[in-house]
Amino acid sequence: MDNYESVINIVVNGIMHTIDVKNNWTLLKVLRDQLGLTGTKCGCDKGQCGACTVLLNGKPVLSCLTLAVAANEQEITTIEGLAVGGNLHPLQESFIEHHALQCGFCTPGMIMSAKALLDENPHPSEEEITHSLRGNLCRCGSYPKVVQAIQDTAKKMGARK
Amino acid sequence: MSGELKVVGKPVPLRDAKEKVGGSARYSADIRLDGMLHAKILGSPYPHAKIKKIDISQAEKIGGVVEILTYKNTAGLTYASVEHKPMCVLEQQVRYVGEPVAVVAAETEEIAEEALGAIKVDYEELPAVFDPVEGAKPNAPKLYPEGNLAGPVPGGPLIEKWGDIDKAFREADVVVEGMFKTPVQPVTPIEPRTCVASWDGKELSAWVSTQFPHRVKEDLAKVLGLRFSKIRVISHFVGGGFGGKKQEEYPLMAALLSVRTNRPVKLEYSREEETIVGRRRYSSVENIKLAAKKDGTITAINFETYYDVGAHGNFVGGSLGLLVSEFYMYKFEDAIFKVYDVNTNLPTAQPFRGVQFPAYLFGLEQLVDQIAEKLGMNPIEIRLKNTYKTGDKMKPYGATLSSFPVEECLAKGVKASGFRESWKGWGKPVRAENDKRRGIGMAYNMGWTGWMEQYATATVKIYPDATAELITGAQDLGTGSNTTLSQVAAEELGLPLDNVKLTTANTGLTTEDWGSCGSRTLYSAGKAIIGAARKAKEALINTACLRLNAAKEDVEFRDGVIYVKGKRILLSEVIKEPVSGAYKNPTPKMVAPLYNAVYVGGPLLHVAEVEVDMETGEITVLRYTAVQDVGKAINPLVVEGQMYGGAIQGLGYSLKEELLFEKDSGKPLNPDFLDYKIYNFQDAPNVQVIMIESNEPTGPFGAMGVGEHCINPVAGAVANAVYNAIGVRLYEIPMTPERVLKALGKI
Repeated sequence: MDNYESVINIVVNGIMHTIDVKNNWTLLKVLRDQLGLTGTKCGCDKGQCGACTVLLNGKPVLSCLTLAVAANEQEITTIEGLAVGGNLHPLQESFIEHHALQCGFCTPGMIMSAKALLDENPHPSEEEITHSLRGNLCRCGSYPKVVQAIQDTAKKMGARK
Repeated sequence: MSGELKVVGKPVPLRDAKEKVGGSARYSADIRLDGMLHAKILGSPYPHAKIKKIDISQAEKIGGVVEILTYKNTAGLTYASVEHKPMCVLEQQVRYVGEPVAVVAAETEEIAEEALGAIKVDYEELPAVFDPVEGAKPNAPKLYPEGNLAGPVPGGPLIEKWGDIDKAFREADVVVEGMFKTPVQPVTPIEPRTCVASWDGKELSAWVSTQFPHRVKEDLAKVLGLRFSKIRVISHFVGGGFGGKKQEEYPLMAALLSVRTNRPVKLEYSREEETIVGRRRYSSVENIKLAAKKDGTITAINFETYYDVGAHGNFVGGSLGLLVSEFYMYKFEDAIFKVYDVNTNLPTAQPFRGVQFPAYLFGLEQLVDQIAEKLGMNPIEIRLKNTYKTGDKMKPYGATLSSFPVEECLAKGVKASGFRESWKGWGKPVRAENDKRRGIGMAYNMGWTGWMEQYATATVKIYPDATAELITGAQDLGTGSNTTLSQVAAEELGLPLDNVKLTTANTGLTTEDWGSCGSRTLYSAGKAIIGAARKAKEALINTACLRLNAAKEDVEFRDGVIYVKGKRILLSEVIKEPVSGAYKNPTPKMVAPLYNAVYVGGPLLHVAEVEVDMETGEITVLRYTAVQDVGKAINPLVVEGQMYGGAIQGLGYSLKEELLFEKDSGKPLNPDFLDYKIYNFQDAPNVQVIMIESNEPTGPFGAMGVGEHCINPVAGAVANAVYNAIGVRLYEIPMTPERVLKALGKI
């Protein structure tokens, strides 16, 4: 079964890739091993920690639970795709400024979840933030500062509009 | 002095934050090399067994399988782990479920997985023991020929005692005691341990998720039979250490496979392996008894504890604490501490943030409150009465306590937490409404920093363009020490932070260091960095005197420029090549083996306010206040991050986290995040952190380490708050709804 292969077309961070994949490969594996996009992290490989969160057509998914073939003909955004023209995304800026990261391993997944949240709800309450990100685990315990960073980003992005 | 500081004390964002938020930070698992093989581990299904026969012939025939390690082809390869007991890479005897018995390197992960299934192992099952109290009994199943006691005293407990304990208890006005149980808490960093090892025929490079790169280098040299100079351990980004990522078997397995195959090899733990084969906190059964006088003076302690150190653990993380640190935080006139470190057929234990002190304070601080209650004192009063203070000679070794602003710490904690407003007195909850009871409680602790400060070194180079390079083996385990240590160097050199380049996390390039643990990194390496920077400046001034024909007292190095009698001269006009200084901290004066003559560590007070649902037994932390003397916050953002993290991790330890094992088989029941619950966004309560800056005289710019002990008081504070809420004490953590309901007699 795992020898069955497919060819998929995926747009990752705006670039189209045509890739041979095995049908049982996860999107996480393809991003990391086939495309070398190692910013997306593997913390558990079973959908329990959130470190592998990416956006699939703008919606957050756990790339370790998403089969690569299921992403065929779709658009994926990873942490490497957030900065535009060398300028960090406001969320990335805010995480830095608020010290919303320590070891940094869960950070890419956190930022992708936060981006999905703000795209849908530009002014989330604290409860909406903690509810939305409850699947992103951080052993360093940076949660309070992540909440601050997201709230501050929302404020700044709102002001910019 | 603080008014003059330009870089130290500033909330500078992490210097490597851009890589971390952008996804370009390379952790060990992100290293990808041409021709890299993938390794997978076969674990034992039995908690205690001897391998009668292991047949790898079928596995070897699978296309793409390149090499297989077993105990047979790694015989005699031992390493001196942090546990201090020589450990085998692989052994014929396995002592916990999941213990590696074979490691396969193959072209792909899938092939390696497949090969694991083709390895045939015949085991002779041996009787197993899972409880430290049982394991310490003479008739218990033995894990080792010499028995299960793994402490420094062969066959017995380690004992530390002074005074006349019998007399103290005989003459006491109040005696309180309790038996306290604490769970197996795996470290569970989000980054699973990973090593990529690459042997090029001459030298080995190993990317390892470790806090102890220089010690891993020594292990690799020993196991591979290589000279130190042939090995580079690289550890640029570590996805959270918390004390757990030190010296272990996986880099040795990956390196052996790489040397034997002449190919790069990646060995990445799965989440289950990270939880089980990776390290965890010992569990413990503590019997603690205190004696006190009517006036609230705590006179004596009788402490007898069994630490379950697991399959391969040793006294490091158990009784070693008696020799080195903060067990003796109150002025006990008479004491006996008796500690058994017991090997059991459970995963290997190792120091994990706070080591044994979160468990100690869970018991001790509840008993201190009990004395206060019996005597009608309030919780603040009794702690102030019994604590050591600045300049005190501390028992048992006569060390002198360095700066210790305990009054300020307690006062700030009480104020910030609203303790006086909330506290209604003993036996009175803060509030009682319907099924909800609200309570407030505190726990106090003495920090500790400077462990092995003599094993910290640094080199500082000053370049002609007024930039500098700091070279240090001190490892950032995810705390942000790369940033704080750079701030120390920049401040001492009088240069902007951007002008200081840090070279670290590569044993081929860096100076030696003990390893990052025990809140020693900033304190110890910081001092070495100041020493190195001063030497580099001195070399610069000497060169300037020579080249400019000036007297030393007329020459000054300030803001990256040389001044001679006030005249400004660019560095490039003074030096054409870098000048450098190297420094190793001196060995401090000791009063006992491993015990410094000056005890450095500030006070901490944690206050928890909780609500307990009397129907469901659920505990909700409403408000949490953590106050800590940090000496000087070199970077307040980093210090706050550590304090938040310690409190939140400690709340997990207090209320949720427990690795469970099937009763007879010793099989871990919840080795992943689905069933082993660490705190998430919704669990984390409102935490308030308050730093006190006492300017520790022995510290770099007055600083002390903060990361280790900020977890220590949590379980004690929560337990005291729960007692205040429901009037019943809990003697076992985590304080789950089930345990609360049992304590209430409802189930």
